[in-house]
Amino acid sequence: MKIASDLELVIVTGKGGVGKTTVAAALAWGIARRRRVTLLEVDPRESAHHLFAVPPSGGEPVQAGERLELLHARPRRIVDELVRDKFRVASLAPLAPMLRRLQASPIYDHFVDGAPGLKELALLRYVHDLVRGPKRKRRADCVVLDSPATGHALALLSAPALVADAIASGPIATLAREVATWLSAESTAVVLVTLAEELSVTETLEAAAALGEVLGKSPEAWIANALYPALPAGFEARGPVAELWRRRRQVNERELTRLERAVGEPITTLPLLPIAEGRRLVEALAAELEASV
Amino acid sequence: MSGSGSFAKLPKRLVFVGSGGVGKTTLAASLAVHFAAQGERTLVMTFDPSLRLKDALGIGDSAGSDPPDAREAEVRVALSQAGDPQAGGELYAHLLDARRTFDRLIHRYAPDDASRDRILGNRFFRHLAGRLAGILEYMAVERLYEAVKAERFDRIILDTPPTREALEFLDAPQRIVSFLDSGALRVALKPWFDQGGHFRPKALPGLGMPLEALLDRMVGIDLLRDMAEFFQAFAPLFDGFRERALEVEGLLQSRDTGFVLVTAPAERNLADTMFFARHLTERSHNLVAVIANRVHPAPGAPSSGGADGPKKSEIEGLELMRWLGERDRDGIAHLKDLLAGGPAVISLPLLAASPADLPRLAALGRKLASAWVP
Repeated sequence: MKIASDLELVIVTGKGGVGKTTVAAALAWGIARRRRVTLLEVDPRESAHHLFAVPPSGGEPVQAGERLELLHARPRRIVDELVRDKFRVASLAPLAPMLRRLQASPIYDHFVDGAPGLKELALLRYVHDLVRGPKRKRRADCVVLDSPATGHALALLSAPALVADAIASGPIATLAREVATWLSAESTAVVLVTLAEELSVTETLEAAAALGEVLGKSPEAWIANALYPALPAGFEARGPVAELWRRRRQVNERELTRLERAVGEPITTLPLLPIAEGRRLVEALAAELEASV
Repeated sequence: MSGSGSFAKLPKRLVFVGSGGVGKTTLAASLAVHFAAQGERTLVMTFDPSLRLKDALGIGDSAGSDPPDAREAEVRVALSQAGDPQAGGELYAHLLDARRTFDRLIHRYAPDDASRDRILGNRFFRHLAGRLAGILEYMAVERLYEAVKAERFDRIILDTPPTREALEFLDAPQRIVSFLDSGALRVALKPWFDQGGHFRPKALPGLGMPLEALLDRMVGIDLLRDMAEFFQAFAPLFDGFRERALEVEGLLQSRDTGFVLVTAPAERNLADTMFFARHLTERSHNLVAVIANRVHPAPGAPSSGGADGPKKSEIEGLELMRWLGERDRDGIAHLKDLLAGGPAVISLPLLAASPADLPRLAALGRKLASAWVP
């Protein structure tokens, strides 16, 4: 598969259950052949850590391979950091103890929970700083974001523009505009993962349209994951298992064609592999991606 | 068929939960069609059905014209093609829309038209409140509550929203109550702004003007003004909201509400499934069944080739199918071990295609029901 070699951010998303995390890991593995990559996950269950068979990190970076590290972004910690950074300006120094008290109070919890777009903005700023921030925050040449499922990914990616719109001025507004601009730039990309199944393809097409509106660009790549094997010429195996294989493959092909027609470009495909999980699966999928250029 | 008798043991309300993409929505709809076909008055509430499922249930067009009165948003599904017309059951489907449910609550609780219009017209509410954390989740259970109160149904099935953490909605009522009880609200309700819309908090005499300039620089004073206005306008509704959130929470803990956890069968999904199962039982929710959905056929099922057995080119694919069958079989065995003595564990096979018309939904529902209540 071909993706631009100078990307700073690859956002991997798709409907729930399509194998986003596995594909994100395979992409990260491939990019890490040449550049320093952080595979960032936001799901508290740390499924990418599980996939690489490293223990849950609690938020500390973990090395998963040469030039590849795993990082679990914990929203709360990131919001605290944002609030601290943005409100720690000289004119506010006398208020610092008050700010600390505020951050320890339940009111602040509700504010962080409820303030629309705040958590999302804080997360994207954190991602931005991993590749572009001040030296002490920079960790990688490229971040692969194992993003939440499409609906939530959309909420995540539209947050900066929304916040910039709601707040006219001030440091938060400036930050929101900066992040929104970065997301629309050429150095960031969205990769959509889908199953070649009706529900999944339909949702992916809807997501692509919505993402296009939010970011002003179309996906860098489309990946159809977990395809049943192609039917050999003159397929004549019988029995329920063979029949299921034939029917599922037919659905795969029909939906792949539908997707290809709608998108107007070839779709990268990944086979269903007889590997349960773990690093071996990531490596095998990365090899498939490499081969499908 | 006198099916209703055997269903008597199942809770009157069933809530389908699980990670995204496991088939919750289709299973919830299937079971509802089956209950109705067996003679029950059934309501299925769903969030995000596919177009084809919407068409099958006949709720494709109702989304655009959902009236403020909840009852009319439930669409009666013509059952003629799915069941025994003699059974006398009825099926209603409701497409959930969080924003509309929220609007409806405001219509209901606003003391007068003026305060209602103040809220609905508030900029903060219009742009942002629909995205307040937990609202979507809360509105799902809120609708369940409305439907239960209406007492029109023998059976209610709720499909849950595609939330990030899948069980967020269980905590939603408690979060609303804790927000309403917290100091946050008292702070939000203080008279921060004077009549002219200037930031002039009474508690900080003389500091108003410099603080206004500072806040304006930080987050924009307009936003704060809109927020303050929103909370002021909303204040008369809080008591109703709070009381209701508590009742909704009681409903979720009731023995008459059963949770059905849907999962993919492979071993790698077990950690998630057990996480959900523990979460539910720890909070004393009534977890009645775990469904391992879309299970590949067990290995050993005969697959013959042509006259001379499978061709060489077919062997690799058949091997993969066998591997998938083993993977699912082992996953389910492990799941049953972990859940021994707990909820029913039900396996449903992977179908050639997802059912998208009433007869096929009914067939899947029948299969689920007979695996559950033999």
